[in-house]
Amino acid sequence: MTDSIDLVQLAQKGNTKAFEKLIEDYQNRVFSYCYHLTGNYDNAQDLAQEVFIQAFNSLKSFRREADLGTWLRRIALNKWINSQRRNKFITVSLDESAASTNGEYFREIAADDESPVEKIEQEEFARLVWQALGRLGSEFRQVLILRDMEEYSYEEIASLLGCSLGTVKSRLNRGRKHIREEIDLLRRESGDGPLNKKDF
Amino acid sequence: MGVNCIAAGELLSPFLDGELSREEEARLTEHLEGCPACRCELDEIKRVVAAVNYLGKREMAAPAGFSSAVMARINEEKTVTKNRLRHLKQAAAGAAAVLLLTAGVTALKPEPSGQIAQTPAQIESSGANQGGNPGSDLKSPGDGATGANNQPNSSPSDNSNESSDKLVDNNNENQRSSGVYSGSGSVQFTGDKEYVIVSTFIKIKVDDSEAAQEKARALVNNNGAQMQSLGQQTSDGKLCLVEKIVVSNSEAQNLVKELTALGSLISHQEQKADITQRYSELYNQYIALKNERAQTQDSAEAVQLERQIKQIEDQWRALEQQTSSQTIVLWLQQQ
Repeated sequence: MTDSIDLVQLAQKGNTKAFEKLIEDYQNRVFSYCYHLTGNYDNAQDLAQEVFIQAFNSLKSFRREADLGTWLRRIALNKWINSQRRNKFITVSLDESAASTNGEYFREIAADDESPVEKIEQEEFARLVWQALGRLGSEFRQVLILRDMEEYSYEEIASLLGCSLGTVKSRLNRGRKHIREEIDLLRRESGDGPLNKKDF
Repeated sequence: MGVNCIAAGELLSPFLDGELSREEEARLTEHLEGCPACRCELDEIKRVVAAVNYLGKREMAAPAGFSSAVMARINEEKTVTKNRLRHLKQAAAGAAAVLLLTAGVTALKPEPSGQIAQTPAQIESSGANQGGNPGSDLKSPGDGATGANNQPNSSPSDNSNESSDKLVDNNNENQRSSGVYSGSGSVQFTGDKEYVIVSTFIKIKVDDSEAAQEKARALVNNNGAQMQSLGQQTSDGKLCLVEKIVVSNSEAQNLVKELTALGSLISHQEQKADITQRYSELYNQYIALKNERAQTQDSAEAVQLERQIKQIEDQWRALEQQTSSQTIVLWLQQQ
């Protein structure tokens, strides 16, 4: 099997078949990442396509010793941030039924060593968090994704978003409060109680 | 000093990320030890953060046909880019031609209209001296005819003749009596001849580009042409002196031959632009405007029409200049 470095090398020389193979190898990772960022299946598809198209156009600048997956994620992240600045891919309709497009998505969240009941509870909680995330304002959702999902430091987030460290701190603080409020609201709407300690 | 629950609430999130100062952390820890509510809140934040983090680690399958869709878009963009490049090249070639021609025109210093409006025959008789005969009219380029038998159908009225004297700032009596408004057929188009603008690009390799430049200047002077330095350019990593030369059609061939002999020829390209159609269009516009001008009784309209007629005359002269001379762009590349 041809490895990524060889495929990159071939693709850099203009071999489109090699690039298509690279897409196939990385499409799930990139698409998932885009889905997490955009929170919407269609937008994720658009973003992921744009990521690969830009990668194809910029492939000559890619250093082979770098990790292609990281490079693609970086492209996706920059595109997502830029598109948010242009009000594109704004997550106004986060897929509340992610499981409907990919039934395995939330089911896989629970750890293997947990009981079936715990798994169901955690699956439900993950669904709530996902829904709550989609209800947040984009400025809060953005920092929560960058910090809690992508684990960027405050400084990195400030640099990525072009804002101050204080703004990042403030948005994170408020974002985390808002998401808990949204989770409680969702639970009340569905007749459940507030956050349960067993949830995660 | 400790913190209350409100202040502690503000510190919980950065505490979780390790973003508190030691002092802040100490105060918060002290508060948390004695406050179950804030500890509970911290736990809730942790759980949500953990859930968000976990969500980000899940991988899902890309839609079916994803890679094909991307490749289709890439191929589509490549096609578009190719087309754009082709159009760009065409546009660049066109722009280069226009640049050459425009440069050719501007290189000729502005002269009184009577002098610019030389026929090629007159240019030839004056050895391509741009001064020429001040008594010449606007004539169909290249034919050297007086145009007596090819006048526009609409001979201008006396009024138009008078107005022309006001519009055309020309003190020459001959120009007044036989100018475009005089009815002597100064703007003529017979349609039996092609009018072509020729520009030539020569690139030669020389031992000493500055010495070659001087030799080129001497050749240009001998041929009654004009040379203007366009500066230096780098081509294939070599320094080139670039010269623009405007020479009459009659001398062009000879000059090109002499210039080419200055060094070893790298490239020689000749570009021709047929502007016969442009002549024809201008002529038709001219006739129509002259007719309108002859018929109008409205003084304001007359002024407007005369202005338009003047513009066409100017364009006609510019075209004459371009067709009666050639522009040579000479690249002298240092060995």
